[in-house]
Order: sequence, then C-alpha cells, then structure tokens
Amino acid sequence: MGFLHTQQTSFGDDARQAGRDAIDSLRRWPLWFTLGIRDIFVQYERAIIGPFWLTLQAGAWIGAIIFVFAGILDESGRDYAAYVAIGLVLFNFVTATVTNGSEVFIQNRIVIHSHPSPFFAYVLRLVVSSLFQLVLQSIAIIVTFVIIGQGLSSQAWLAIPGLMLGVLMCLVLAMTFGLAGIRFGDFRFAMLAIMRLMLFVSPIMWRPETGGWLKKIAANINPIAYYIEIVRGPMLGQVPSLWVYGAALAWLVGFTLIAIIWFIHSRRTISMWV
Amino acid sequence: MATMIELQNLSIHLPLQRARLRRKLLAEGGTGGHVITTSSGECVAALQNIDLKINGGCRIALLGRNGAGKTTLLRTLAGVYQPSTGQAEVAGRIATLFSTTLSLSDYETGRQNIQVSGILRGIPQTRIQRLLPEVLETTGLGQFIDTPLSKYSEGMKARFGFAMAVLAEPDILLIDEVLNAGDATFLAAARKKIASLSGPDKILVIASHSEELLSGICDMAIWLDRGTLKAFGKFTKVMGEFKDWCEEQD
Repeated sequence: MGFLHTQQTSFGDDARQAGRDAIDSLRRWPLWFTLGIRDIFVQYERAIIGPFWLTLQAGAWIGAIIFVFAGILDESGRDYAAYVAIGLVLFNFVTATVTNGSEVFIQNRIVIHSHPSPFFAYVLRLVVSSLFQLVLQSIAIIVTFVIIGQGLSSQAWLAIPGLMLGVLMCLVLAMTFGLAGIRFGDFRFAMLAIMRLMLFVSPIMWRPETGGWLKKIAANINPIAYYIEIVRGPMLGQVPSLWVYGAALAWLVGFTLIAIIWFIHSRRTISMWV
Repeated sequence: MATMIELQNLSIHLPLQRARLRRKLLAEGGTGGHVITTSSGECVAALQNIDLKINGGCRIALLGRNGAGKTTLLRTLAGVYQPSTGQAEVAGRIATLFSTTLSLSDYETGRQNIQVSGILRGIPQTRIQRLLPEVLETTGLGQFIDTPLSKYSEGMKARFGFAMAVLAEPDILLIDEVLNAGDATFLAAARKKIASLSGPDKILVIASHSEELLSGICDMAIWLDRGTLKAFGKFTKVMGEFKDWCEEQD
C-alpha cells in the first residue's frame, strides 16, 4: 500500500522496478486474462454471431486465396489448402499482435493515467486477445481439414512447442513495438503498412521451395516465415530442420534482449509519453 | 504506517512529442507549465519544486486555473507519474476517480462493468460480489444497473465512477473534476459518502472549479499556478486568496 518514488537513480534500480512490474503483472492474471478475452467479445458486442465473425473472415480469406492462387501458382494438391489455411491463420495472429502491439500502451491511456497498474499486464492482455482470435480462427483450419479430408500427422505434436515459441515472440514484439509506438507517432502506421506487405513476402500463398531465388531469400530473412514453419510444418507432417528452429530461437533471443533493455530504460516514463 | 502524503522538492517534466507543438508552446507561453530543455529533450515542467506534507484526516481542495498542474499532481499522488526530480512518498490504500469512462464498455450493462472496473482496480471478484449491494446503493441507478452504459447520461456515469472509486474502501481518495457532472441529489449523496469515508486516517484530494462542491466537502486547500505551489492551508483562507488573484488576473 502506497509507494516511495524518487527521481531516476541507476539502471539497477530501474531493472528491479521492471522485474517487479513483470512479477506483479503475472500475479494480476484476472486483469490480462479476463479482460483480454472480454476485449474480443466487446468488439463484436452488437453482432449476432459475435466473435465468430473472426472464424468466418478467416474462412473467407482461405477460400479466396485457394480459389485465386491455386491456379496461378499451379498448386492443385489438397495439401495446398491446408498449407494456406494454417499459414494465413498464424499470420493473422502475428499481424494482430504486432499492429495492435504498436499501440498497446496508447490504447490503455485512460487506465494508465488512472491507476498505477503494471505495464507488462497490458501486453499480456493484448497477447491473450490475439490468442483468443487465433483459437476462433483455427476453427477455419479444422473446417478446411474436414472438407479436404486431411488428418493430422504423427509429428503434429511438435506444433505445440513451435506455437509456444511463436507466442513468446509475439509477446516480446508487442512490448518492443508498444514502447516504440509511444515514442514515435508514425510507428503504428508504418507497422500497418509493413504488415500488409508481409502478407505477400511471407510464405503463406507460395512455397519457398517452388519459387525462384527471390522467394528463397524472402523466406530466409523474414522472421515470420520461421515461426509459421515451426507450427505448420509438423501439422503437415514435415519436421522443420534444426536451422529453422535455431533461427526462430535466435530472433526470439535478440528481440527479448531489446525488449528487456528498452523496458527497463523507459518504464518509468511510459505514463508520461502516452 | 499512518496514512500520509509527502512530496519533497518534486518536479514533473512531461515530454513533448511533436516539434510543431513545442514551437507553439514556446512562442505562446500562456497557461500551463513552462517549456524547458532537459537531457531527454524538451519538456513541459508541469510541476516544479513542490514541497508538501499531508497527514491523515485532511479533505483537500485542489485549486488552480486550467493548466495549473492539478491533474499532474493528482496523477503523481496516485503513483501514475514518477518524479523527474525530488521524491514522492505516499502511505495508504489509494483509489482514484479521474475518468467516468475507465475502460468501460458502452455495450455492457452497469453490472457487467462493475466486474470489469473491479478487476482493473485489483479488487478480487469475491469481494466485488460481496460489495455489490453497497455499490448499487451508492450508484443510486436502480434498474438502470442492468442497462447498457450507452444509455447512461454523463451524470449517471459520474455516479457509477464514484461508486467504483469508493468500492476499494481507500485511505486516500483522489478525484479530478468528474463529480461536476452529477446532479444535486447525487452531489448530496457523494458528500455523505465522502463524509462516511472520512476519518483520522483518511485523505481526500479533490480538484474542481465548483466552489459550492468544494466548500461542502473540504477543510484544506492547495492552490497551484503554472506548476508551482502558491498556497496550502485552511480552505476558506486559500480559496479567498485564489479568488482575489483570479479577479486581479481578469
């Protein structure tokens, strides 16, 4: 109860405060878990089918991409439908986290200015929201699998650790981009534009192995490609190489370091910047 | 530890983000804090070198013109802003009423929003359930509690926000302007509730431009001007000085 706040002293003190923020956030799980799921229901409050619009949207996109691109890319196998369905739903998860992440603190401005809640809780709330969207959109994957008569491979369980890595990466990205978003007013708009571009630069509609060198380079330098692959590959019976897991882990470690250092450095001024 | 608030040589510097805004503020001056340059860039010195000690039992009015630093001071007391220089020490359970629309959903009912507001304020769900009848009584909203918030007037939202703020049974209650939206019946009920929350270990700090509202509640006053503390003392004395100063300025 209460607090003692002093002017900035040392990086060590700020690090301790940031650590306490993270622990307090985890302890206040009703805040981010309950409200994260509620955020989706609130968005679709007036709709009769509510958040199941997310399922329909994903289904429509999957259908449209298969209809348009299967012919253009000479993809006729039923596994292309499964490939597109999983890739698109995972990409939507990343997009929702990254674009909303760049305004995670700005969106919570009124609450931040009213209560000294731990900041990491807002990031957790956003990721829970995105995960709930992922669950709802995954219904479209199940429907696609049923329609094409595709089952899960015996290696499918490997998608679970892959997804966990992806969720961690999204958590770290949301924090990093959230901090960038409060300092740079143009950042969230830039992220919106970049993520639209990433849909075409990521291996969702096309396969890296069936294209030219440009596609291979795009898949190799694009972090989203690795995180999609470590979930999609096992579900389709292809165990990703150690290189793919290593690259996904390396991106995670790199962004985690950036997020932690930036959070420690700027946590005490977040409420002043939003 | 006894309820208290102590600020020592406290300054709050709010960063300026947009160059255009910076230039405008520098050129115009006007109300609000001074624009200063610090190691982290140009900032508004929203509060400057504030020394203040408030002990339990005080009901304090926060006076000042627009941009005087009232909201910044309340946010600092709430622990939202951390000092740019100096120190802020607050002992006691704090509750705030800075906005009537605190993360509330217009499409959800008052009852549903009570749950959400409780979660945001860190109040366990079991306690919210137990205190629900009391909240319903404080809001005075009757059957409207099961109506979506979109059907509420600003005054009804103020009732709602007030009920949620006092739900946490705080030692220190910080209120910024929002009670002005309430009608006479609500203001009377709010005064009664605040009186019931008063005690030797309680502190109330309320910012308002309504002398009528403040005079019925407060016994002390803080007067801020352009981020500096002009006076702190008995309500009638400080309010008198503030009104004289306002007349001079006009």
